[in-house]
Amino acid sequence: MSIVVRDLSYRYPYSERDVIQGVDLRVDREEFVLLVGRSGCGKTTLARCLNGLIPHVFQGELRGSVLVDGVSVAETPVYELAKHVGMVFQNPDTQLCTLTVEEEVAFGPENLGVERGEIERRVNWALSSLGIQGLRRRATFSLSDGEKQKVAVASALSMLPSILVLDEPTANLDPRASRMLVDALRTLRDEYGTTIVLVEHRVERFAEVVDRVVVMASGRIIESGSPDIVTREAEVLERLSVQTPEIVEVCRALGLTSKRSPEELRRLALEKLARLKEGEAKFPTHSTERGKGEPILEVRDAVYDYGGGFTLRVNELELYRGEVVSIVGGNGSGKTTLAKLLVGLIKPKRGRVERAKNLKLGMVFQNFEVQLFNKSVFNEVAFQLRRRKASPEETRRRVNKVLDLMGLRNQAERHPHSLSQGEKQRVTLASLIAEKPDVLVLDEPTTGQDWYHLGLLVDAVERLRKRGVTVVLITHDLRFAARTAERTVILNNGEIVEVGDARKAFYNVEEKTGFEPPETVKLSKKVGLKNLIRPEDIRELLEAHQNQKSPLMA
Amino acid sequence: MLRRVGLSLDEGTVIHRLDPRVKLFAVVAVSVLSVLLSSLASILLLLALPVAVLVAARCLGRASILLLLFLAFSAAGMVVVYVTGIMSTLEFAKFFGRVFSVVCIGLAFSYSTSPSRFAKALEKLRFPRSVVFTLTLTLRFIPVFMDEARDLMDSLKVRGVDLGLKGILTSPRMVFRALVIPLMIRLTKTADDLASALEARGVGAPVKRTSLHELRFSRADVLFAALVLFSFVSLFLLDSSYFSWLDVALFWRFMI
Amino acid sequence: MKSYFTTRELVYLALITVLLYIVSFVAIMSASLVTAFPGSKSIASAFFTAIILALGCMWVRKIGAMSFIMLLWGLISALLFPAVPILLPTTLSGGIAADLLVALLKTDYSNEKATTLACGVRSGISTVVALSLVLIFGSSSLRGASLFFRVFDALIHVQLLTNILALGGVSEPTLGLMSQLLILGALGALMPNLGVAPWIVEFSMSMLGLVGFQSAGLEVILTPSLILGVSAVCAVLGTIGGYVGVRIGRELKLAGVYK
Repeated sequence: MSIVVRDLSYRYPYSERDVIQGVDLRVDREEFVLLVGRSGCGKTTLARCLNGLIPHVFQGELRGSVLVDGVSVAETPVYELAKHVGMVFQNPDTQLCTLTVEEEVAFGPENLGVERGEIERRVNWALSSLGIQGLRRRATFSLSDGEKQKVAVASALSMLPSILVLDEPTANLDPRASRMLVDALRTLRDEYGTTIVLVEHRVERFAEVVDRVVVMASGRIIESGSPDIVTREAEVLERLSVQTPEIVEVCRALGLTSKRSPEELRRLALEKLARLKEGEAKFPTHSTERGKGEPILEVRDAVYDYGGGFTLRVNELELYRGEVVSIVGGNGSGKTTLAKLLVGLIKPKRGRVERAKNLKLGMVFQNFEVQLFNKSVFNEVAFQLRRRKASPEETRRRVNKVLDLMGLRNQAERHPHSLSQGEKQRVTLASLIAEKPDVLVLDEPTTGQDWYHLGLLVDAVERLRKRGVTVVLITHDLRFAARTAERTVILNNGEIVEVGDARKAFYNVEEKTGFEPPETVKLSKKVGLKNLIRPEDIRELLEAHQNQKSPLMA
Repeated sequence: MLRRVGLSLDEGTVIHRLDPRVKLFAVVAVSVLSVLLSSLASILLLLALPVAVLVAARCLGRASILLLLFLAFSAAGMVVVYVTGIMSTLEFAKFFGRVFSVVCIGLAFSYSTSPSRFAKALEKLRFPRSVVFTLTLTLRFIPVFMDEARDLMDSLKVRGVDLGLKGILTSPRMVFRALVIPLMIRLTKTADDLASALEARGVGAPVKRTSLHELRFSRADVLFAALVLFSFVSLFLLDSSYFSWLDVALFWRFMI
Repeated sequence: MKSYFTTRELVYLALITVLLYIVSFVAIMSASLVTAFPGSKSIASAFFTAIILALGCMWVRKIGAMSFIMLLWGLISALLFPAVPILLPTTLSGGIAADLLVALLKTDYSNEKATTLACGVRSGISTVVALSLVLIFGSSSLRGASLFFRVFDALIHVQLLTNILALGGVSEPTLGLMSQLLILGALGALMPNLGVAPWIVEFSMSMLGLVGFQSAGLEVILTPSLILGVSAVCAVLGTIGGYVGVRIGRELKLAGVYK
């Protein structure tokens, strides 16, 4: 047994509640386990118990026992445990502490007093096991996020642990980098026999790579079983606010049962979709050419150089009133630069950006935390109103309205930085909405948000659209984009490779960016259907099909 | 310079490969000598070493802007001093020479020493491990926070916070609240994350730390140190007795 | 790693130094653009750096935090700016002075008032040393020493003494310095007897010294009154900055962000 957790309970210092209660967990040698649960379920806490951060660094009250490689965590200091358990954290930047990759990977063994020749050997091995020997002499700050995470893994590996624990390592990575990291982990296990515990709040991407899935909620382990449980027990997962795999939603839309393995479900879905195709159901047209009117923002022949020697080139891009546009692309494709161009934070080197007169623009940044700096949520939302010297009554009225809209009324007097991540994002959004912007840009709003908050975000976007706000969503989460967007712009290496109706664009997204399209798109393409990018579309298709068979009486 | 912390660029010259301790010795020697010397001639000679080092490190080009600026200001100063007679122009010229040599050798040091090597040198000089460790950490995170600060200013602009001069003058409280608070939040979060990560990498281990690359004196280092020492001693000895002829000559000729 | 500070505290101190670098760099850059007044850079950075320092020391609490940060900052400056030998003693002296003050007050940085004062002291002392070091390093004559000369001539003599002792011998620059000061002191004492109002004498002497050149970060001609004046301004700004920092720290504590 690699890891044995027995009846583990823990509470942080100054806390009145146990964050994990009576957890029992066993992980075999060379097993690859996925630990999932919504934010706050205790999975990060459990991870910290595996390498000694709890109880040695975080203090607090620990009851029960944790054994890794037969060694008791509570009785062994962290630096000793580091030889058994390596840990990789969520933020690529804040776990790298030296100036070059080589120094970084050598850091661990150096601390442990390993002899020089041995350090050299370990560094070589760690870098090659992840395929990053080429990065050896690079400076840490010049790496991409995906590269940084790989270096982080290598740095943990150089201490030769038999177990590797990763706490949401893909949170800041785009789908391609995520995939590469997880594949690398799988290789580690397959070739070197490392036991791996991967903690995530998203299941979809990872369930198929692991041996076992463990589900946590409210500090307890609820489910543990083969990866199939993500679909078979989808209802349980949903109640626990863990991400519902899209294949499950597709099957539900098709009126099929979802209590099967993912492969089974796909097979069934494909069968039914094929039948729908044969029936030649008429798909209700969702025309995005609905009286849009004049564009409120135009970009023409704009050129801008952004980091890493790339250039953003936009020949033609228009935004219309009250639409939802998603800008899709990987890290480094120029999305944020384009967003800044639209909002006016930067001006193009050549070309121009024309905006309608008095157009009000707002932007929520990816790390929205830096946009909050007032003493209370109320003050935060009221900030710009007060600067414009609006009257106290109007301020109060408007702020309360927005707070209600965002579900933040109860938090009005709290300090913004004492709130959860999801709440903070909504506060930032609220403070921008209070200014009644015409165009609102959201940069990677899905980062770090769990399924529940994503749902709230989708609702918020829809409500904004209904009020005539143009919402621009910058994201690499294609599933989220499919749920919300009407039009899509696909960026790759600074060029717009596709722009237009979302339904058309998603069908080409794989060729254009190398990203995996959402499940719905994958399935539809296989049977040759078009215009289906999300489960709701499938439901509409099914209904249309059924209505065709038995037309409604007028 | 801001992103690439440290001015050093790897040009691979002999100077770059020198042990930083030896270069530090040169810096200290030049600084000390700059105060000790009293005649104009020896001060001008003193300038030779730093400039030579700059040339050898192929950094003269980059340094030239800074140095030209310096020269321009000092030339202007000399004119003013001469005209107004506030002080002895000769003294002013000497002062300028002293400072110039210190600046040059400092630049040569900065341009040719990478932060990692500098940290290793400090460690060899028996600086406490905690200082060297923290120094490396600081150097590592300067670019990270620079980017954060830039993002911060962008995101504040979007919220209507004017960070320009006008903004600072009209509502200073708001301006630095908006800057300091988010930065401090990021700082605390980063510190927490980092501290955990470091512990997990064995930082607390009570064993003697080893190192992948060792810093050792080479022949070039010994030669350079000898050169510096030789210049130091000879200039010092020659200064008082032989080199004051220039001062005397200038005095008689120009009454300065 | 054996250390007076825990790993967590060292990390914190490192990052505070990062912020310090960024903030002071920005402040100094903008100040340089606007004015060439000697000491203006110190003034510009004094306020903002004091805020950061207050926040940093409040978090770490231990005495010695200020010196440590200043040591780091001096070393970073040694690496990044050409004036290698000048900035380290400057920053370090300010840090040590601040820590001494807090120690003398028999408390540590969790005490808000002590922290505020410490920031002020650090700004003041650092500025004094910074501006005076230039004298030691470069100047050989001082012009425009005002009447204040007599008030702080002890300070000047300490400088001279250090100069002499450290460098092992009296050299011409030092002699020049001494003789100039003596002459000017005598003149300064003489003027009032000639019927010139003292304040005019002081003022004009100071102004004469105010030849505002900046050469690669080093002030060229300074007078003792200028040095003290600028340092006093910095000390005041430092104290105000410390106060602001302490206030912000209090708020962050309430928001649950601080320890």
